[in-house]
Amino acid sequence: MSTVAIDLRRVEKWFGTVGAVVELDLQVRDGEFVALLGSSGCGKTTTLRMIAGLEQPTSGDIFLKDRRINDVPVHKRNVGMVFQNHALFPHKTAFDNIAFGLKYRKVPKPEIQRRVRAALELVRLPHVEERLPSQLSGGQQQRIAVARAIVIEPDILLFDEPLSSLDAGLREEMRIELKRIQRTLGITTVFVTHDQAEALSMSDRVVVMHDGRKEQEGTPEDVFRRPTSEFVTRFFGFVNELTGTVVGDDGGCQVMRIADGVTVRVAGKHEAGRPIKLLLRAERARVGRGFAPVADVSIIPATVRRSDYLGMLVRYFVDAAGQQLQVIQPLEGSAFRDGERVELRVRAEDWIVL
Amino acid sequence: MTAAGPSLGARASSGLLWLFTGLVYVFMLAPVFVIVLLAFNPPEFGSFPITGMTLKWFWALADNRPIIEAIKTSLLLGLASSTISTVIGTAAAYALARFRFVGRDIVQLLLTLPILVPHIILGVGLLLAFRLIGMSKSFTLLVIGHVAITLPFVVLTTQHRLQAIPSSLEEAARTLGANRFETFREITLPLTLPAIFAGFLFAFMMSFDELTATLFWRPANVETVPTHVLGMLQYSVNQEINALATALIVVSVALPLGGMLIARRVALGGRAKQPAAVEKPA
Repeated sequence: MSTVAIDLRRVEKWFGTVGAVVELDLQVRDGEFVALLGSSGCGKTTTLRMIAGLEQPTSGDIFLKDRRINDVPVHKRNVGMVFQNHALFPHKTAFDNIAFGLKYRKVPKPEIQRRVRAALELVRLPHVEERLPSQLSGGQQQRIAVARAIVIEPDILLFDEPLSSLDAGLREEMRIELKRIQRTLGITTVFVTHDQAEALSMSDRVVVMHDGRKEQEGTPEDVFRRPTSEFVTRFFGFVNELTGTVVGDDGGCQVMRIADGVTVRVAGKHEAGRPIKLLLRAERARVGRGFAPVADVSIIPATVRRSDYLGMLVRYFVDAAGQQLQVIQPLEGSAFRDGERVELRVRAEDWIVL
Repeated sequence: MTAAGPSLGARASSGLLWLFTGLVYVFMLAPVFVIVLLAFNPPEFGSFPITGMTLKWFWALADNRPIIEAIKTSLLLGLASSTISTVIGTAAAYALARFRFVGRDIVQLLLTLPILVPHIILGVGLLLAFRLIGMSKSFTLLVIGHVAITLPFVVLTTQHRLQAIPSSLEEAARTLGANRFETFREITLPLTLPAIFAGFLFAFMMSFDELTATLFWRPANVETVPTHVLGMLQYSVNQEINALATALIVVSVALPLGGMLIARRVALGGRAKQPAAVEKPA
């Protein structure tokens, strides 16, 4: 159904002896929305800048629609880029900012007017043509920056942490907006972010990067539910770490002992006879009382040590299986009190075994 | 006990602050005021009390050929050296602010050094260097020397401004299809222009005011305003000097003020364009 729009083959970028990007292979299909996710310094922004042409790869090839673009200068690549701080030209009006790219594409004046207006309509921000960037709010500046990048009808759209300069409420709104605009245009998009929620909610595919390398890639659900490394697991929120030993088989699951007299059911087949590291996301366990003993679910006795009230959510620190575990869950009614005897419920498929 | 207003000590120190501020201004501006006042005084030798008001010293100044020549020389020298400084200095500032290259720190140091080196040393040094390659004193030497003296002011003001412009602006322009030159012309230059203009004015004033090094570099028959005034002062404090000083004070107050107005115009220039947005959007 789809052809490859962006193709990075064995791309590397070295700054002196520091490998910013190492052995990176990355394909983005036509019309796909890919998020490059990672903490600062993981090489995601460098990767984006190499696609844009703002950095030269030390080695490897970059293809854009089957054309090798390593030696094509930035201004001839036809990429739309939205920068972290919007990078609007402060001395130009919103109209002139958006029209900037069209001037270099020999578009006739009436056509420029029409296309700038259409772009402003698309980002739902008409009537600001004559304003200077300083007269626009953060969210409006963001929309102008997007309009400026899409009006040139680029082959690909690149976002460099575009939402990080906005405050929380606006960020959520713009997340939905950007996704809508990308869907409307069906444009191939690479989105760099350190925010897992952004990456998971917006993209078709997430590429988690770490230390210049691709750590894992897949659909948001894949990456979140089936992490292949401890780094990726820990990237999406707090993770409890336990050790278990296989002691038996129970239908589709295996029974593991995680403490003296405490066994749990863990999905999958695991090597018997040696301690295995078990990871458990804080939000995949439940604290409660009187859980029905369903198959594939383990119920572990626990004691609440402390709880943090987080508004809609509550975070419990509980003692269970001889250690302290964290659980985050929706707050129904009032929270359990410190010292209360409770139960911890974990489903067999929620244990992560790497 | 809590006092409602500021304590006595605080009020006293605030009063002292005002007093000292006032005194600084008096000591700085009173001599200037005296000169301006004396320039309008009729007697041959400037002295108090003021006996009347006259413009005759200004007319005498306008008829004084050597002074007019000195002013012309100073203007020509100032314009030539500050123009050259502005062109070279802006290019250097751009390179220093935007590129990492071998010897960058040394270039930065060399371009800033003339501010720190006493002019008398610059004067002797450049003269000896020119002798070494067999060049004698000339107006060209004078211009080159003044470029060296004024260059740091252009470089520093422009570089400071350039560093304040995020490089993402230039990168955005390039992703949109502008090459490096077009990016400079459309984005970098307009945003830096006020600083470049300020640097030019600064350079001109420095050149116009320069005395020490100029004494070493000027050919025998060339006088700038400062060297000529120095020559006149060796005989007596002439009333024409007071008139000249008054004229220069007016110019040196008016020039930066005018410059600031123009700089503000230039800065606002980008937003002046108001395309008629009457037709309905499609």
